[in-house]
Amino acid sequence: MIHLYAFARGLRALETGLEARPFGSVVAVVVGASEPDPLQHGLVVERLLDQADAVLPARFGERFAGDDELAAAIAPRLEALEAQLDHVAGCVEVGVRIVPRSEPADDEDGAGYMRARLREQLAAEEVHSALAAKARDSVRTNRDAGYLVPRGDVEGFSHAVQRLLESKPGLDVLCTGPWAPYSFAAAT
Amino acid sequence: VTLLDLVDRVLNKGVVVTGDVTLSVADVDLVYVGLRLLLASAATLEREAAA
Repeated sequence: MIHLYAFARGLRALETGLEARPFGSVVAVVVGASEPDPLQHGLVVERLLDQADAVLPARFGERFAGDDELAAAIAPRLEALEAQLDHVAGCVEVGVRIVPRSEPADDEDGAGYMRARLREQLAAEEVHSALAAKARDSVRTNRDAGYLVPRGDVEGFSHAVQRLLESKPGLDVLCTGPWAPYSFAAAT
Repeated sequence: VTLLDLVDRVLNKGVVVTGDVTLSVADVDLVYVGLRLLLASAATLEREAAA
C-alpha cells in the first residue's frame, strides 16, 4: 500500500522513510511500508515545507495499491497539479480565525442582537479584505480564513494582523501558521 | 488549538487525486482515527491545563 503525503517541486532533501516518485516536474512524496495516522501525516507535510520550493499537501487517506495505480491517478491531473504548484511556490498559509469578543447581552431585544451581529460581521469583513490585499491569494469560510503568503512576508503579515487587531477592540483574532498551503490545494 | 487545526486541515483539506475511491474504502476508519485523535488531544490539553 502506498500512502501519499504531498506533491512537491524543487525537492532538496527527503527525510528517512519517505520516497519520491517523479512525474515530470512534479514529485509525489509517498511512504510505502507503514500507514501513518493523520497527525503523523500533518507533521511530515509541515517538515516537507522546509525542504522544497513548492509543496501541495494531499488530504489524509490518499492510498494506492501500487505504483501503477498511483501513476494512473496522477496522469490525468498532472497539468492541474503543475498549475497549483506554480501558484503556491515559495508561499505558506497563514490561518486567521475571527471571534467576536462578547456575545450580545441577554436583555437586548431582537433588533439589538441583529445590529450587534451586523457590526461584528462588518468588522470581520474589513479585517478580511485588508489582509486579502496583502496576500497572494485567500480563502474564507465563515470565521476562518486562509491567506497564501510568500515565506519572506510572513513577519510583515503577522504585524498587519496585530495592527488590525488593535484597531478592532471588539474582535479576537486567532492567527495560526505558517502552515503548508492546505487551503490552496484544491481537490482536482 | 494548533493541534486540532492541524488534524482538521489534514482531514478536510488538501489535494485529492483518487476521486471517490478513498471515501468508500476509508471513510469508516478515517472518522474513527480522527475521532480518537481529537479525544486524545482534548485529554492532553486538559492534563496540560491542570499541570
